[in-house]
Amino acid sequence: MSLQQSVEALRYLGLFSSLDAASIMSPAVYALHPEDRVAAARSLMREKSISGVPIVDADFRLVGIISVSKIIEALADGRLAEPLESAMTRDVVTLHVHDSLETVLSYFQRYKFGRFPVVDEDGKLVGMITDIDVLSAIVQSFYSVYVHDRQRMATIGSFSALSQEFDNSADFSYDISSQGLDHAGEGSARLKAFLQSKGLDESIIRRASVSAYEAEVNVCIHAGGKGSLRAIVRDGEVIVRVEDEGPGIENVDLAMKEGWSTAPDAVREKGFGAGMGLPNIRRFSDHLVIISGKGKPTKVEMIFLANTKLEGT
Amino acid sequence: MKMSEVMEITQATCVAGHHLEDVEVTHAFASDLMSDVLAMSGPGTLLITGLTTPQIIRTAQMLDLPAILVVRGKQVPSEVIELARATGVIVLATRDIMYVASGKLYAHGLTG
Repeated sequence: MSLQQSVEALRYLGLFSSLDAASIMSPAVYALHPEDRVAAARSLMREKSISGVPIVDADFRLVGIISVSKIIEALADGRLAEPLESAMTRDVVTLHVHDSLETVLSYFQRYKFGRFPVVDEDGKLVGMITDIDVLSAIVQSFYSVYVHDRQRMATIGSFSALSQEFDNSADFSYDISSQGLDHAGEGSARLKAFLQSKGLDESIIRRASVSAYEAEVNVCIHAGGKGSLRAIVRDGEVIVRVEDEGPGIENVDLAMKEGWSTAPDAVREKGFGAGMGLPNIRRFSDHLVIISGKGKPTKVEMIFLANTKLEGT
Repeated sequence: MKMSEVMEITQATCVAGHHLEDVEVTHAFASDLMSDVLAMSGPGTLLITGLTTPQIIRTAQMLDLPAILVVRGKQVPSEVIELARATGVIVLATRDIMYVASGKLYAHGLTG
């Protein structure tokens, strides 16, 4: 797969859409001033095991960069005692804080540099991005995506992270708005009545309602009770999407573990918050996608297929 | 087991619902953790719980549980009774603790 195709796939999956240069970069960077000597850059690089140092003016605006190759040239010419001004590259290729992951990747491919300084609106240096930073950011963002599929990869399309249909409309739609837990379940009760009106099989209705209920309870416990519950019914199959506005799940893999919970004790006294919600949804659904992250909205999409038998019930 | 029998065995009062002669349960599940109920029980099950929140009714509703036996002599709040009536879930209440209520019903043949 070419980089172009990979980037296309990323865009389609929407997995890394929230990654921008600001979230990828290492914010703590070492920088020198133009009047510092070349020798200072050399020792800084050796000391910190870095291969390039950005050069900034008194206001931290980026004015140049010095790389290992420039140091070697200066060393050969005996210019280590001269100011960096004389040795640095002035024409620096920079990334902007709001540049997307796609832009970052394309810079690495186009310029073949090992690092790019990241600047803000005022041209001030705010961070650096190396290939390791990109890799770490991608690995980190996998923590915020969870995909479970009972009929793993039955079709290639089954990996589509979220159903596109919800972009247009839904057959069922309910705004979750609940202070505390007391009204949790109203949306799921309505969903259940709606599914019954569609004449679906009892088992699929129950699995979808129970899962929707757990997800609705989660919105009430963790997201201030504000969110939406929507469903699409087609060919006896039910797709349920529950979304909220955050604060998001920092580590979805952990949240999928039975018994792992961040719910307060008050919630536990009401019969929830024991870390069983998401594992229950996984148990009842045939396909489950969760997209979230620290400080981000959470999207939970569950697909229920007709005629799925559950283990142990 | 008929709900009228459950009532007699645990000396329970009926808080919501009627026609207790006509409603039967085939199993029982005792828990205060609704997520476990949601995960492990199904239609025809009697839910035995010490909770009296609206969530016990919602849980029963999602799972098609016909009835709930509230234990430990807990007062069921009026809004929960209303929700039970609106959703057709029978609610009984006994002074027995969960262990005793479960033991009595089990001894009379209602298994898990």
